[in-house]
Amino acid sequence: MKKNDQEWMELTIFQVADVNCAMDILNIKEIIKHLEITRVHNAPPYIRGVASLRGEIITVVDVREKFGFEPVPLNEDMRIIVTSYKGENTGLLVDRVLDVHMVDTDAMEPLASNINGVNRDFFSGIYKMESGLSAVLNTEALLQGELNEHVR
Amino acid sequence: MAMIEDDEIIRVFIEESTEHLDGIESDFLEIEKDGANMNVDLINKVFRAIHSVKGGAGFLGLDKIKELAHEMENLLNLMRNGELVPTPEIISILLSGNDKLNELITHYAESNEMDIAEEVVMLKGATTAALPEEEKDSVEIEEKICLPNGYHVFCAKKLELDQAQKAGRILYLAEFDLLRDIERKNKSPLDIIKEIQQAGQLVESKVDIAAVGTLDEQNNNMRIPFYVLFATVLEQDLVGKLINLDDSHIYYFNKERNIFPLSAANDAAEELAGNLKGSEESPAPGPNIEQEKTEAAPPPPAPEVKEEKNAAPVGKSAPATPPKSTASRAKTGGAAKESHPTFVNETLRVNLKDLDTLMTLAGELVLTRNQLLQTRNQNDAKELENAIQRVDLITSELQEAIMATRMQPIGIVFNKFQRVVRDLSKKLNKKTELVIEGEGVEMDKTIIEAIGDPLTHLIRNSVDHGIEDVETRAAKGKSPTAILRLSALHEAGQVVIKVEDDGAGIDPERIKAKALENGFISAAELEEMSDNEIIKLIFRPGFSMAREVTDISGRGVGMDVVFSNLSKLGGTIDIQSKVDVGTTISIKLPLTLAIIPSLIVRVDEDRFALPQVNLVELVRVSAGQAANRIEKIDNAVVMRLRGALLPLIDLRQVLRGEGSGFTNLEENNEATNIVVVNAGSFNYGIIVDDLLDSEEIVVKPLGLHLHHLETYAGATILGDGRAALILDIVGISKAMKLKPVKQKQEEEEKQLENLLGQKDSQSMLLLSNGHDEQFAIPLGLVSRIEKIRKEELTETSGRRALKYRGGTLIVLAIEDVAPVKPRVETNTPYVVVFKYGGKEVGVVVSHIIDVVDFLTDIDEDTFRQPGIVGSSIIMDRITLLIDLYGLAAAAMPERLVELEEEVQRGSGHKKNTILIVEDSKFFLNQIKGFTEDAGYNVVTALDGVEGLERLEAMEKEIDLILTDIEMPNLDGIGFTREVRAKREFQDMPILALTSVAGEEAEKAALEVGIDEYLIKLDREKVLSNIENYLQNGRQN
Repeated sequence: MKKNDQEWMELTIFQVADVNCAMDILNIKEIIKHLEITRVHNAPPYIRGVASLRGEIITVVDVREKFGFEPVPLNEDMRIIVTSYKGENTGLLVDRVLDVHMVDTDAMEPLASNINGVNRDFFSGIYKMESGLSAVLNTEALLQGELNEHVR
Repeated sequence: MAMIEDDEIIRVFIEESTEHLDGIESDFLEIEKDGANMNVDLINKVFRAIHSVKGGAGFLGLDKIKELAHEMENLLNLMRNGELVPTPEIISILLSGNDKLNELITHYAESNEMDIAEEVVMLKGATTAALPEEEKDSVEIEEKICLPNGYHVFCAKKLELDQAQKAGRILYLAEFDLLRDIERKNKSPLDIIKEIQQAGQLVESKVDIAAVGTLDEQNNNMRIPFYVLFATVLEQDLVGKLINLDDSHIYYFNKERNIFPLSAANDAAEELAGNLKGSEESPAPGPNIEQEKTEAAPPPPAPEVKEEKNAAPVGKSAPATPPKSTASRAKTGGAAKESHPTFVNETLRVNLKDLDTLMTLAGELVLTRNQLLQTRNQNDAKELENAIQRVDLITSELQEAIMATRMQPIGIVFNKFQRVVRDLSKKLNKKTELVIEGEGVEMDKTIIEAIGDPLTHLIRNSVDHGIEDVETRAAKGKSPTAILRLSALHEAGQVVIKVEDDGAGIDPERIKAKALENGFISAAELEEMSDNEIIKLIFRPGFSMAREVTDISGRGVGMDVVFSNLSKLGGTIDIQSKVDVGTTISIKLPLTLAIIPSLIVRVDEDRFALPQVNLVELVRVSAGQAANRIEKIDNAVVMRLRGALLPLIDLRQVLRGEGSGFTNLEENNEATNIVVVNAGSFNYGIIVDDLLDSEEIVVKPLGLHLHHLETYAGATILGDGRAALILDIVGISKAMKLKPVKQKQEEEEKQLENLLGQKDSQSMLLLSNGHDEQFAIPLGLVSRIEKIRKEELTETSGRRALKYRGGTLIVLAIEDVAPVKPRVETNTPYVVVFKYGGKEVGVVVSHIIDVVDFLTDIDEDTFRQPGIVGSSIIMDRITLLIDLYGLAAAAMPERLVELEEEVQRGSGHKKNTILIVEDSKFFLNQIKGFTEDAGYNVVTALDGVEGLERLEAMEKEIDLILTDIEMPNLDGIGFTREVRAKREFQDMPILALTSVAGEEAEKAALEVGIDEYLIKLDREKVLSNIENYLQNGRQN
């Protein structure tokens, strides 16, 4: 089914509240199942806490909170997606990881408006798939925006 | 000659050169100190170091390095031969040369483009001025060195050739072949140079690429000549063996510097046997060395030097002469950083023994892993336990061993300051002697590296602001040379670094003025601060004392930066200063940063690590006492701790981000845990829910998103694998805007306390045996409390005993003697251990309730029974006070007999008699108990009046007085005044036993002539003081 390597990419599809999100699998270092998050008081609200990743302390960002939804208690389905942001491993807490899809890079469409009330700036585009729409998360924008607000 | 592009050789050369030059700076300073009284060995050492650098640089084509080293070497050589006395000016020139040399070596790749004219001119000037008149020219004269066949190899300086041939040395020219003599013998040209330098003095070397023919011709015996000109004391017949080269490729020079093939000389030697030396000089194959003045050839500054030849070689005139090239230099320097490699030493020398230890431990670890894997298969719990223990042990040892490899002596940093102090003092026209102590103290590499900047700042501050110039010192009657002491020592697992000067000190008035001027603090606040607190203001952010900005200090960074830098290292800083006496700054640092011991505390379900460096003490305030000890003053919550007030914060509030809110303690039914911490300039208390454990933690940084939080110093991973945050004690105090509780308020409180009731208060251990009866024992009498298992207590022949530390501890119970209800058996009873008759005895109880301070309002009649000395109301309950000595005496009458016998046996010499004046029978009994126990005769009195009567009656017998302060009729102060008024009691030691703590009270007591002010039931301290005063009499 591959025509040309450059035109295809693998997307990991995951869910945050009722938004289907996607990330290029190459940007994901790993997905953690065991959620042992230590809460950090006085931290910005979107920081769920810190966790130990094989001896390294990573910051865990609650994507729900970033999207403007009410945070929920941890449950079995939740996962931490570990990605690299400014050379540092950072965790994204998502509600559930669904699937991995092979998509044609050309098929990505720009976002016309906010999705379910979530700021469109957090996404770099959208894919139409059999299962529905998946918005590709722009982790840079997601993690940078707040950093500016809170770090003066 | 072109630079040789061989990374490996260059790298080795640079590494070695850095090593050679490493200690030179301090050597120069040492030489300067010696002055005319020269230490030739030291000069030789420096000379050799510079010489080695020159040798290598010449070969590698690093011409500027070679040239500079060469000039330094010339100057040193004169010194070495006693022709030049190292004055401070000369040393300054050498030091700046050394700086430049280091710079060249660090930026070796572009060193050939760098400007060294200034240094070279100064060095040449100094050399020329020192030479005798007839030799002056030799500095600039070069001689051509040619082979007997007339082939011109290179030029060498006449001066150097002259120097080389002195002291019976013979000059040789060796022609190595890079291929046959060096490459095939697995050597490098640097090795050859090193070999030669060991036996003699290298003058010049060169790889002669031009001499290599084209590849076509004479392919078989192609040579790449490598010429080395050197001087050694070795005779012609031995030199070939030394450098491992056939005689046919070695030439030698006679005194007139004519060149001869060595083979010819040796052949002749065989023929002529003894007469060799005379004939040596005669067969002159014509002068091969032409002399020529090379005035035009050397770099432009040279002619200017000649004009100045006769001028004094003071550095001041010289720098004016070379072309002002600072700009161009800066440019080359800047451009260089972008493209060329710069040498940074990234290697670390490790003691071979440390490495061996590591290897052994690694081996152990592998074995233990195998053991673990095996046990997993066998499922043997006991084996598993063993293996885990071994892993535990090996891990700790491994950690220690690895730490050891990172440890470096602090002298590395300290010794750099000799130069800083010297240069700075010179510049400021001050005389300062830097005394360094404890340079062998070792610390982790990271700390050693990080401590440099803060220390530099402190030292510069000290020389710039602290130390006065010579005239001012003279006016003050101080010695002209100021002493600046830099010391390091180990103290309780930390390193204490002190910077002490005997300078002007810090004037609190000036700090006050500055603080007010900057609106830093209000006049009212200042009013309430002690001088020491005022001085500590300099650690506050943004506070700079410099009156004007100089280039030495006051460039916008002040002590506050030093303070925060040290805090980052987990260190603390303290300052003490007295006007015109001096300033002492003490820095405490951990030995290592990577792993720190810490206390784990809990608030709700969160755990936090609190570094033990910051930890002062742990205080538990029981629910009943909270209302008394914790209160609000001006919106700040404070705790009363041993007479002082401590600001208090609730960690829960800190975490909720609520500024000054406070949990209502009065509603709290449980005891409050308070961790008293040190935040640099003051202490404060943190309320936590629970104290969990102490753990060694590994500090990990927090991520970008959390970096800005003041509350945390980082994070760590606890034993169960979960992350926990590390509290930043200084950060929290800043976030909560904590201030030390003002001194004045403290004093007011104290006065209030004095007014309210001058009653004795005492720490009491509260116990129970499982019924409603509550007992108390003065804490001061207790040696230890042990929690044991019920089975450990054995009963043999009617005696309870505990196997304990290899011996047997007799254990009593309260009900053995006193008519109280028998103890309820528990699984883990407590044994309170105290000393009786020089031996330890235990009392078993079911529960320990608490330790409380209570005002000793003791009813000595109602419940008086054997073993019970009286009663009191503590925490709203009737509490029986246990008479430990009475208990022990009644339970073990034989021990009492033994004691008396012993006392009688020992009473061959006079037994000392002590008068105890004390109104509380309870205390009187306790004190009498332990003093008699220690073998003294005791006389007692219930107040001052009775005390005086006793003293009058037994004037001759009493050797020492112990007195209470608070007593009816005549108190301890009045009593002492009366006693001291009498001539015959001038030398009587009087010790006050009190529970009224506080400086004021103590001062009053000492004023009337009390020798020592002791806390009542601190048995050990009271006894040691009695002994001391009986032996040595009154001091002063």
